[in-house]
Amino acid sequence: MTVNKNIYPDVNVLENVIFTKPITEITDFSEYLEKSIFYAGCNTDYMSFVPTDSISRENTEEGLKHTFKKASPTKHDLCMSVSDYTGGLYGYYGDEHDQGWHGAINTLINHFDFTKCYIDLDDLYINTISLEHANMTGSDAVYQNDTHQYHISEYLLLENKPPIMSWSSILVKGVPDVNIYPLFCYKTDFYSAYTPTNISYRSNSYMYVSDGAYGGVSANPKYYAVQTDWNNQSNTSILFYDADSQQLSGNAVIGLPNDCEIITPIGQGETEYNYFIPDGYDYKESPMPCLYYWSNWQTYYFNVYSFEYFLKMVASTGLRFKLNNVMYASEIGSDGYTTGRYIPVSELPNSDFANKDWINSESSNYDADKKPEQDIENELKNIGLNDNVGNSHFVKWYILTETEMTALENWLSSSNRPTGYRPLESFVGVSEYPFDLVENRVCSSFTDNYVKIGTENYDSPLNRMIQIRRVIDLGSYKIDRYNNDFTDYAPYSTYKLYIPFCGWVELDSDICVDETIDVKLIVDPISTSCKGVVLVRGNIIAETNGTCGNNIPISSNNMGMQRQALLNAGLGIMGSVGAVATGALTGNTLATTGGILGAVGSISQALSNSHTNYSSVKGTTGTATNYNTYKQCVIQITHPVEIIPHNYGHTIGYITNKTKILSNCSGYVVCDNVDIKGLSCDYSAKQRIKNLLETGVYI
Amino acid sequence: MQINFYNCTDDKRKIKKALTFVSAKTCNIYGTCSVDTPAFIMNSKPEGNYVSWDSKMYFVTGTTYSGGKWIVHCAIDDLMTNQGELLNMSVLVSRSEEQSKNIVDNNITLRKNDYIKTDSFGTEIIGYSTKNYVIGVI
Repeated sequence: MTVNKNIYPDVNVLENVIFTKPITEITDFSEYLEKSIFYAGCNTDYMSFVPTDSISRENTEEGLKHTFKKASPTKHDLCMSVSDYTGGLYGYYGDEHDQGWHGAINTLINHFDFTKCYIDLDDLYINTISLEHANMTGSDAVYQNDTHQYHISEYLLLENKPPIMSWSSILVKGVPDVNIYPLFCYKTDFYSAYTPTNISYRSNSYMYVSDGAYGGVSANPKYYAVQTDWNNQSNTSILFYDADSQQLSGNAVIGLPNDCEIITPIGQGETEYNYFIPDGYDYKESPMPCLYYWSNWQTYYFNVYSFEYFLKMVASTGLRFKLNNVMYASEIGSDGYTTGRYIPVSELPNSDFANKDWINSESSNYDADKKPEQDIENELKNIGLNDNVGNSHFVKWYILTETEMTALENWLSSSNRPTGYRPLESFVGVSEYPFDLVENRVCSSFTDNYVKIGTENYDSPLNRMIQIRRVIDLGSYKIDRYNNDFTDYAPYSTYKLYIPFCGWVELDSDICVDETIDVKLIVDPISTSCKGVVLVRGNIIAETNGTCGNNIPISSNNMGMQRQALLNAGLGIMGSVGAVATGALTGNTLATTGGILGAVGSISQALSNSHTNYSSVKGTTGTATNYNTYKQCVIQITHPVEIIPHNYGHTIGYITNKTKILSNCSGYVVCDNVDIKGLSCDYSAKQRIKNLLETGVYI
Repeated sequence: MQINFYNCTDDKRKIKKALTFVSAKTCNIYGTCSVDTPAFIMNSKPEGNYVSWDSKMYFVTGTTYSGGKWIVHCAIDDLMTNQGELLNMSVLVSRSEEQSKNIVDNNITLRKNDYIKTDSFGTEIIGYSTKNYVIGVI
């Protein structure tokens, strides 16, 4: 397998993968093992986890790093290890490393194509603690030296499986010629994205809370609990999941998943860390690991897992794994997240796993890091949103920061350029964006070390745009009912949505009420145009156009000629941008490419048709009115307030207009045009009854 | 003949009235009267405001005393009397206590746009203060 740093997060990389057979038919990977690429961190057969035994407990992070470096003598080898130090794994790749299970996985996926890997648990060693000590609570719950190491084959035979303290020797095997999974799908509560310090955020039904560690980037954004002020909580039971020795700082809003155990905090401030001991904790019943306080280390805490939990954690990577010579498939749910569930591969076709039929890279709608815009990206692929405009061999598009732009300007105006050098002849467009294009996933880029501008080589590398995604997920919003009646709809209520760079768009209440709207921004980073799209259940219900950037001229001189050139070029560009946009929206790649080429042609023609001193104006001055636009979606909802008298339903009645059997009604009922057929009383009684029913009766 | 007296506190328009039995009285029909509005004459003072007689249910509309006799005037309760058949009727219910989610009710008074909710949500544009430039080079 080729180590390709550009693989992540660009799903398109897998488009050219040749699959030897459908994934559902692959139950035995032995035929592929010869081609595995990493082995024990020491050669290129397997990716490996180093056994815990090789790590001295006295070593802390630095020590671990040293150990790993010894185990991974080759820079491009990768090794991961499990230890009980702050509860987890370390991933190392050369000098890069990261902590924790998620961190280790993160290290892996940044460098390797995990779609071609599976976890082999058959050489696993499990370190356990006695059940007696695992069930201790409070200050009695000290670490005891009663750990025992089992090979997985021994452990599986145990009738009462003791709780797991740590594990080692997990092999991640690479299978280069077949995709075990078509795409990355690792986003779970185990593998979560980083969160900046002091910023908590909600994702996937959980609240991720910054722990303030690591100088701006938290390695452990995985605290969950009831909504409370962490620092002010006292006896409130707080659910705590997978804590470690990180210190929370500031006021943290903490989310509570429904299925978590409540654990009582027993101390805060004794050391500089918060720590917790489970109260009545039953490691077998809990879906979550608990913590242990080891008095010898005082500030280190240990997770105790059930074996089921361990397997859930493995399955939550989204990888397949082999256990006891049975290959298991991990579930990726319909929302694109791994669930922790797993199933033997042989049972996969009959399962309800969303990923059961994935056979190639087109099988999943999901992006590598599970940002939901990939759903719409897939749905919208017919309108050309995956066009790879930036990869044109004729026009190279570069993304520059302000500093790089200044450097380029200085370079262009340098007196060191050869006589007659006209660099601006090479430019076909310059535009400015008030946000980071790559960070916002409008496109991705790679470093181009050989930028040529005109006849000269530019002396600094620039980021060249590739794989323009164009679809940014701006988020979702559930529009709840307010009065729960007709007034929730137009014309009584109004629903307006503000989309950054696009402005306000009115939503049709008939479609959006009681639904979740998804908002996407489709960006063309070349023309600066964008389109806000609102979807309900995958269907577009509203859209509005906008501008997210500003076309700018590079410089100006000889204005008279430039204006003419600009006019001609501008006309050409305008037409071409239109063609680009049309191509993008109709899926016509040729039209898109042609549009850009057309733009080039127009510029060239305009310039060649005018004058000799033409080359110093390119682009047009665009509008910058969107530069300070609000950077988030905003929804504005207006509802009327109903003035309903007390007992309105009991005295006047709410409009119903339903045919019903009277015995199925209750309370006050007014009927319309009652047919008195079926009554055996005399006609005067029938008429009286009809009158009563039509003026209102109580059942 | 005998009639039963009850107490009833329900609205006259209620089909399934709750009755509390008071007493059974021996009486006769007073004079000639309609079955819908009978009068009963009896020796003892009647108690209760509701009467059942001959499988029909009546409201007591008035009581008079004359010559040592008590005369109770009644009016038929069509709803209670025909309760069984009525409750099996299929009807078009135009109004009821059940609040509909979506049907317009013009009887409800509205105070226009009195509730305004503004929420920001979703992903912020990242690196908003970071300018990017895109240049195209041929």
